[in-house]
Amino acid sequence: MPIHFDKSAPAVVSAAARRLRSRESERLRGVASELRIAPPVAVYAVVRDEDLEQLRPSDVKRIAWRCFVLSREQAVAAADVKLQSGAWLVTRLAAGKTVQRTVDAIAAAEEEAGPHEMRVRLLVVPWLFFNAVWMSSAGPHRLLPIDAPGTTLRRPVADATRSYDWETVRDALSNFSRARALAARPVRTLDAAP
Amino acid sequence: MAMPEAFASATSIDLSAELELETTMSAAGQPWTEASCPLAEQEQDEWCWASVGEGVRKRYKEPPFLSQCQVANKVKIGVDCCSPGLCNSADSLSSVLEKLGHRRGDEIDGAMDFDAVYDEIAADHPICCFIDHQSKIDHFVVITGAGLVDGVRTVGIVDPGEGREHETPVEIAYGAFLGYDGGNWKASYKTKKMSEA
Repeated sequence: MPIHFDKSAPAVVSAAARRLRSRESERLRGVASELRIAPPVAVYAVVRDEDLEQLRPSDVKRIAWRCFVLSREQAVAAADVKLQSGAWLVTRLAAGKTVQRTVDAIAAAEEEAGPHEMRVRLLVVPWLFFNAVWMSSAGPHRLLPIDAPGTTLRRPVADATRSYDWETVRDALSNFSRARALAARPVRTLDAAP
Repeated sequence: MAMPEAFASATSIDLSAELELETTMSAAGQPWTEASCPLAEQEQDEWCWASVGEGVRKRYKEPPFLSQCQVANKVKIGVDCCSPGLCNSADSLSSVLEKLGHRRGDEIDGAMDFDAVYDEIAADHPICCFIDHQSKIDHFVVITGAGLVDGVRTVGIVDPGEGREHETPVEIAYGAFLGYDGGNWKASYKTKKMSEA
């Protein structure tokens, strides 16, 4: 297999399956009668924005495992599973277009890897709305942005259909973060409105 | 795009198993309830407040319908925010909701506890939330669902910023939502119809 994921505990998939069996999940999982859970993909996050400027791959932390829920040839939901107080818990369950876009991006990473062994993770920078497939092998780390509609600033790397080296994306994100921080901040109170 | 080959080993799940048990557990406590708020993706980078204002207006179905730039015009005085590229700066959601007639009470400092959230959603009132990211970059989202799911206190949210899940709220464990996406839930705003007290 040209791409592989970090090894996860079997309990991750079990937690996602249990959550999907609950009646409350019917809306999110759709009307499909047959569902499959893909092998969990590790989700890493940049937690502090001051880390961006010098960000190295070893600086980011794993925050969850993402289990994509498949129906036929579509991804219909994504469950993020975390270990909390000794129990595996689904902390986030999402449906919608971004779920399929993320799976498409993983498929694009697989295609780009070709015959080469490649480890695939997901990288998120939540406050910048940035999501990417993180590809690593014996060579340099690369990031393949997950396409999402949005305004131009939200897409710091122009072409979301190919991967970029780590430093290129890091520098673009760092510039983007500075630009956003310079913009007037949302204000909580009437008195503080600019 | 085809499914990744790496997903070929996906695990099948039996949806019928445990369903009855889960339903019983949930019904005994706080069954899932919703107060929808159809957000459109924010049209400018700093317009989460405008998207939320537009969505709350739409949710209560009170004319006239306002686009995001028309919402912006309510608070950005002396400039036409419907001209391309103008008004892309942050603003006060509290002020927006008040001017639209949809703010109920004062801004609530900090996160609301789960039971209060549940009561508000059960009364069909979505709740707007201010998320603070390290006191630098901030955001507004809307809680549109609440309840016990698989025994876990869970909220459903819509987020104007990510261009996703506007129709199907992301369901997040309440504890995780307190630290939503690495930020902190710092303030809350109850909403209402214009005619409500």
